[in-house]
Amino acid sequence: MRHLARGKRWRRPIGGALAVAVAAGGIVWAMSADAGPSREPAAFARHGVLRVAHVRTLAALEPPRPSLVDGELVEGQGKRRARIGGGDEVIAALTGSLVPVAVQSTDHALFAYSSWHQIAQIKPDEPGQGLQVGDPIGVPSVRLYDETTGKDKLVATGAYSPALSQSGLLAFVKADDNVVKEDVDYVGQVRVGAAKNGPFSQWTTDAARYFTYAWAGSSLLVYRSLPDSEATDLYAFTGRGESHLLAADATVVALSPDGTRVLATVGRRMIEIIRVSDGAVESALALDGPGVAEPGSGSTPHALMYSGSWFGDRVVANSDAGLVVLNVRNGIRIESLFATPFAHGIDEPTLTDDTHIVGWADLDAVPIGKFAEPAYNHALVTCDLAEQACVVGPSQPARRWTRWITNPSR
Amino acid sequence: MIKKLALVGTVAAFAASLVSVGSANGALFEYYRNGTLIYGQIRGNCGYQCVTSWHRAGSGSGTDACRHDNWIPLGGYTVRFHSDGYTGSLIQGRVWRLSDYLCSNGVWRTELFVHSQETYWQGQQCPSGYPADFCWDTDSDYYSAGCIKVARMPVPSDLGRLDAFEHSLNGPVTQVWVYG
Repeated sequence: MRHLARGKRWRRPIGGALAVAVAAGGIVWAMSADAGPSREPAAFARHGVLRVAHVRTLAALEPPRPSLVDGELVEGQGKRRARIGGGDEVIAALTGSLVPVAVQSTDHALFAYSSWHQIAQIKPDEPGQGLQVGDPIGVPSVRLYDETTGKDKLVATGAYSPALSQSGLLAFVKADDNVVKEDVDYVGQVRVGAAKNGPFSQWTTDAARYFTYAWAGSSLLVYRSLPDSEATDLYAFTGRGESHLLAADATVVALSPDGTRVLATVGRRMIEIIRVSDGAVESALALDGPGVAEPGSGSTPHALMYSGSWFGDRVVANSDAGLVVLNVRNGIRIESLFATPFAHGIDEPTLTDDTHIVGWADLDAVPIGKFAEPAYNHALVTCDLAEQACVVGPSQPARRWTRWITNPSR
Repeated sequence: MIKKLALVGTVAAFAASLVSVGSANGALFEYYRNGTLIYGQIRGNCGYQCVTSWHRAGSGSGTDACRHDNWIPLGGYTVRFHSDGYTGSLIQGRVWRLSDYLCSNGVWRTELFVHSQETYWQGQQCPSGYPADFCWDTDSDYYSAGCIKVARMPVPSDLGRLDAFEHSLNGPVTQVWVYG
């Protein structure tokens, strides 16, 4: 794998036309938002507030699709349930929303997912949560559920971040040590193999903290953490030791439907459409450009969150200011911004068609100790953006992860 | 903006008067998120009548503390080390490394620091273009990948003041407490 010296982590020079597009990003948004794109299927309001209605059962959420609810795989509007995890919690402790906790194969038969066995018992009001350097925290695993056989099996211990391709390849990160420890870098290697039977070969050549996000055709999108930050560089891997940098200090907002381009947040204040094959930047929008985001303003987004989705010419993403809809037909412009009543917006929003999304949201806060970050009950959410209306499913405690099961791989 | 800072300062000072944590355990930094990503405040506290002024600080790129890159979770952190010339890849110069944090939903936050944007020799490197990880030149620099960030400019900077507090003590800053 190519090592990048600090000075070489600069992006490729942006062409003159692109630079103009960046500078004019806010103006483009302001002008075009009123005019409205002529060929889009259903126009959205430029600004709006999503209304919510609560339902008591999963079955009341439309459309029906597989979900993970507190360690159970739920299908058929709640009628079919399978307990998974092998006794571990079905949560993605090491990735959070950076990578889906569970992904489904194209033929809907396989579910690859993360699980977690926690060892540490924290003391929420003590400095450092009462933990000392080197204390064992927990053990992550990657597991596979085969719906055709009903069997749930362990793929690897000390592993996390499963990514399942349309051709049935499973990628994940296998750490050097099975146990995560307090203040000890948890590094490993990317492994790839046939999901059902393996074997899993190593694609990276040096240990680092990687996150395998998704497949873009035969290319594997991989984050590599910077050693002293939660920031990551984004790479495309095409085989063992074969990779190229797509963007430094970047996370994927969405992968295009054909898998040839990613829309990424770069350096927190810039969003770019990047070609997967060679890393070329096709379009860019600076979020601190004129008219887009004033410092301290809550009305426009200052940073787009990772793990949104792309359908047609639209991309949706969570942000610090609400749910953002981007239009990427010609360049990038902010089409809509929807405020939500949820504590942290709508997480992992996924467009199911031109106007509907599914995702999940934090609801009410539950105190943890006197000083610690509260826990949040959460729930599955579906929204019709044209109608600015959402439906919220049954509430679950923070630790009982509830997610729609999708797959960002293309 | 000055009015806003004054307001949050008042709120933070009032809140500080209600909460006393860890002064018996040595010097600490107190950071108030103040409900914003880039208008938080930080100060040094080493006990009775031993506090610094409040300095503006920022944290994260979003307000979900149990999500990577978002602001730092509430609670107490152990300072694992302090350096005046840290030579990291993205973070350099004067830094305080904080303990990891296990969120209530199980998400593991790591690589948390108090830092600014300067080189390992405490200088500035401000080329045109981006990224400019070692240059402090705009309010946008208060955004971070989860760490607490303070300004590097002008001189003496807020970073310099926190560092001076650290070196004015008989012992190091041992804890950082994060409040809402």
